[in-house]
Amino acid sequence: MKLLLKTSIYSLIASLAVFALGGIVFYFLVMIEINKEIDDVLTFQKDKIIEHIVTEKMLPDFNTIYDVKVKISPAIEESKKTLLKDTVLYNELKKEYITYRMLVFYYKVDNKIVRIQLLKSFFEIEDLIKGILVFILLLLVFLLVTLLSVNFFISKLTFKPFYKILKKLEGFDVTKNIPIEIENQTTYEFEKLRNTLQIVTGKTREDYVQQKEFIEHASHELQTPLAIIKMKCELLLQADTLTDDQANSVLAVSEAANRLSKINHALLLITKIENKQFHDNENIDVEKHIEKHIAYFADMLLIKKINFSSQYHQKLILKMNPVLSDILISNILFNAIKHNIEGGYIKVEVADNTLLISNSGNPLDVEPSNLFKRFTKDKSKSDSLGLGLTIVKKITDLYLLEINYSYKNGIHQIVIKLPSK
Amino acid sequence: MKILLIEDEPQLSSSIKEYLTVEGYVCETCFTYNNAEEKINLYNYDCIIVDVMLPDGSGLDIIRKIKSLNQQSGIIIISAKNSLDDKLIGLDIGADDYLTKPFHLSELNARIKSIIRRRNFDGKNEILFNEIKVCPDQTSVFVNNLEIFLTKKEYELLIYFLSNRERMLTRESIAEHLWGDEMDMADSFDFIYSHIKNLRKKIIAGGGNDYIKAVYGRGYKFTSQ
Repeated sequence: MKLLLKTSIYSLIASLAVFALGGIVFYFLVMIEINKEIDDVLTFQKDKIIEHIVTEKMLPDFNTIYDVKVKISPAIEESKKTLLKDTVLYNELKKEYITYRMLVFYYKVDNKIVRIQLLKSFFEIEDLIKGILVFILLLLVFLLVTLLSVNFFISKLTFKPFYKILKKLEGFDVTKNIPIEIENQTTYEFEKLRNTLQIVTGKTREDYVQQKEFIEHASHELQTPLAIIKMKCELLLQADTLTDDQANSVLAVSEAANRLSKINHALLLITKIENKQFHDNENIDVEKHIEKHIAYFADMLLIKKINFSSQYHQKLILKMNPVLSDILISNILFNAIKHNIEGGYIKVEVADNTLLISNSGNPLDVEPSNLFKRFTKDKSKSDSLGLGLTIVKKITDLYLLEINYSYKNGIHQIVIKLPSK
Repeated sequence: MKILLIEDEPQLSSSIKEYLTVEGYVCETCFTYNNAEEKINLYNYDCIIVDVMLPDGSGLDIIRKIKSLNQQSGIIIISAKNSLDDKLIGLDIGADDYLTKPFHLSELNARIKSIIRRRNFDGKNEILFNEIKVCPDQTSVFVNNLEIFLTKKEYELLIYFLSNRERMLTRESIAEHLWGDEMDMADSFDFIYSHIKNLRKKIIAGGGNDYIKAVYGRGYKFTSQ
């Protein structure tokens, strides 16, 4: 959820709670006050009646004094207590029950005990209260809307630089040699954020460059001694004076040096891919590239008597670095040739944003889940580097392509899928 | 044929010099940028082999110097870096070829021969070996003046053999020549055997002799002995 929305919702809930609470409290306070007022009026009238009785020595004969109903009835017992309570009476005219506040007291008049009831209706007051409450409610709603709107716009304004910083951060790419540039901030916290970001991104860029250089440097340093080994072995093998056993040893040394060199190259490539050092994406026409590579491997297909067929139902274009796309396609095709049987086949199919390469072949004794891990190789091919498919996986990971391998009924199958948008 | 080798690693330099000398080239060596500068100002070479990383300068600058002197030598860059950018820059400033270390001496030899052939303006560009004639400009092969038809790989294999005639070529170096870095060794040896078999068959079918000799446990030799 967006920040502004979140703060607005929290504000809204808090304001509603406060206003609701306030409203309720206000209502009760008003009610209490009104009740108190009514009770005062009733009590006042009671005192007036008592005064009347004392001075006139007789009961009043009116049944209303200022909106207060008076009901006089004889009583048996005198109770010193004065009762104040709510009661409900049926109103003939309005045909409904109306709430009254009632004061009951007993008095001795002419040696007879009388029960006097004073009643005041809530009727008009209820309407008044309702009116006031509606007004208060409208006032609160207005306050709420105004406050929230003002809060919203203030927040938007204050957070504008924050969103700018966020955008700059999103655009930051450690692999590109461009430092992050954020303008100076007036808000203390954002200025702090800016400073920290500049320091952190600066350090990250430095580390990245250093690591990149170190890896490349180390890799190249290895190549020179390997070159020496290779060349000396080659010169040795030219000599006619070597025995066959000696020649075999020299060959073994040379081949081992060769493998070292290839492993070195492959690991360097993998690291570069992981370090996202390959930019310069181009539109790669899958069909064109596959046909190009198959032509390159034509001799091998001929020698192994492998039948190659392809079906392109769709013009599939991948946006990739061309060097990596070459490596990807050639590695997969070469694997299809390598693990094929004599007289087998390779089939390529492009459809639905998917590239499918299937080939005949004996089952691998490698767990399919381990297939793409480094140095995993089929036991029958011990000289293999085991890095070819690792590189393929790194490339597909880089471009968010999905790759899957399966083996069923004598058919190896590799499926590469474009991410579904 | 005069060759200048600009390489600072002494063991590499001596190995290359030894191989090329047996091939019949006159090979001069130098180990520093300054040394190289002197030499190219003094002499003209048929081919110059330049290492990019020199202790006191860049091999690329030497190449620029060579080009500015308008010399017609072929230039091969050798480098420990397999960088595409470097390759492009190198070829851009006028180098003819780019080899990544480690490479086979026979490979270097084949490249040198190829460059010198291309730069041989006064003669027909032809490779001859007894009854076999190759015309690289048309990529055509003749045995006893009758054309034989080879696949691309068989053709490349033949050129490689002819460039390194009478020399022992390991299967490794053949594999690398034909398929570069891409191949894993174990599989390529079977393919090499098939290619050689087919090449041999075609030459013999065209009336030629079998010059490809297998040197047991080591590799192959293209020889008239």
